[in-house]
Amino acid sequence: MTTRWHVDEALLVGWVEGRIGPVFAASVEQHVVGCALCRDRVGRAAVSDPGSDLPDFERTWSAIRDAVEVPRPSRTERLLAAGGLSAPDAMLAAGAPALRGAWLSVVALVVLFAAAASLADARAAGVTLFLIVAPLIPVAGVAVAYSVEVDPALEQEAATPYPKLRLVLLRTAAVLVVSLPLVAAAGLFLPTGVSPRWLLPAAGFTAVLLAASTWIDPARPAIAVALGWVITVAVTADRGSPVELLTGSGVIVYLVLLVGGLVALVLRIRHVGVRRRLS
Amino acid sequence: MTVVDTREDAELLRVMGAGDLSAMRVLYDRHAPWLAVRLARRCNDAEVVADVLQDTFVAVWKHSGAFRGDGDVGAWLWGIAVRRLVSRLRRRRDVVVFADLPERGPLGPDVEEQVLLDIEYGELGPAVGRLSPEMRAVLQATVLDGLTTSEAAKLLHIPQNTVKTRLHRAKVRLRQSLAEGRS
Ligand SMILES: [Zn+2]
Repeated sequence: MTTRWHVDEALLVGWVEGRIGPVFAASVEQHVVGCALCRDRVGRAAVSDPGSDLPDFERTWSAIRDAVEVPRPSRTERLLAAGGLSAPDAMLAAGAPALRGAWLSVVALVVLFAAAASLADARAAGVTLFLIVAPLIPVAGVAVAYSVEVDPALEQEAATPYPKLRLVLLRTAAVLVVSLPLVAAAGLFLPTGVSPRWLLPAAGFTAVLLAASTWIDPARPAIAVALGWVITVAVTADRGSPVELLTGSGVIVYLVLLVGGLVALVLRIRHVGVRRRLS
Repeated sequence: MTVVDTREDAELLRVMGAGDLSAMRVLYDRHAPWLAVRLARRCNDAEVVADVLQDTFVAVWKHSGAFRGDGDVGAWLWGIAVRRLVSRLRRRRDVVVFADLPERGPLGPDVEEQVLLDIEYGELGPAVGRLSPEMRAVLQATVLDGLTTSEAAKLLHIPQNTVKTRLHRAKVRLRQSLAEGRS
């Protein structure tokens, strides 16, 4: 058969405009699904229908294009997601400066330098340098984990209903996971008594900063902690060995900071919450 | 205007699999209007129709390779669209589905009678027209749209058993009508 039945124009327009009964609509639909010619006619009728209850086709296309053009998650994101993080958590954690190459390179360089110096004849200077740097690495990590000045993208993220504290905790975890193994490896070259005791001030400072971040941008308290620590280590090194900072009363101070910081943090978590609100 | 070969649609799907968005644009221009009209005849909310249309083509983009070359692209697209509609409406009870349209449109009975002679359902048409709106809705969702009874139940917000009962009754009613018409 060369001639084929096609939907009557009045019926076709009636279907497009929703004016015909279900029986006729059904017959038009059964035909249109398999007839390219009538599909084209529907297209023209649908676009030219002024009082249409149909969606805006150009706007819908833009939405489709946006949806399919969303970039694939980065390798870090996919790795974090495979580790059990939800997709938005993975995206934000991957955005932590600690996971960016530059940050990692700086940490590695500083740590290697300190370790190398401690192996060379300037052993005491190397130990001092390591002691200054190692506990401050997680501190810097927390500071940049949630600082609008460091990460402009946070301005946008802060506008979303994503709890700030959850972001800080997530990114701090990312910082620690990435940085600590490097620092710990470098610490192995140091005389016993330094490693792994440097973890005590590191943990104390981190806990205090995390607690502080529930009130203020952690960048400022981080700078205060860093300055105080650098001066303390320098003064102690001048008087004798900075390793003394890791014994006796020093240990008690770090433990107080750690416990106090953690208690404050837990209380604040209960107060402000870290769960993602449903939007 | 020439009839567009359906094989070209299948070819577009193949090219889309390689990431060619312009191929989907062609497919969208060809199929979005009738899909939208058919969806709009099942759901009275233009926002939902737009969302379902979007869902459909996003799904098509992701699964263009799932199309089996032997079938009809139009039917395949509708299969995706109507299932997207089911999932969009699962939690929306405020949307009227399968609105009961006026039995006689402004077209006049002559045009409709003329057309009825040629449609696939032939003498079934008037019989379907005599069914209650509830039964027609079930018949449309299952027989015409190809949904399973469970999908139809979700779409119409009625228990699956009700779908089965209404479908059974609709078929009995149709058989009676046909028998009466022939005798
Ligand atoms: Zn046709």
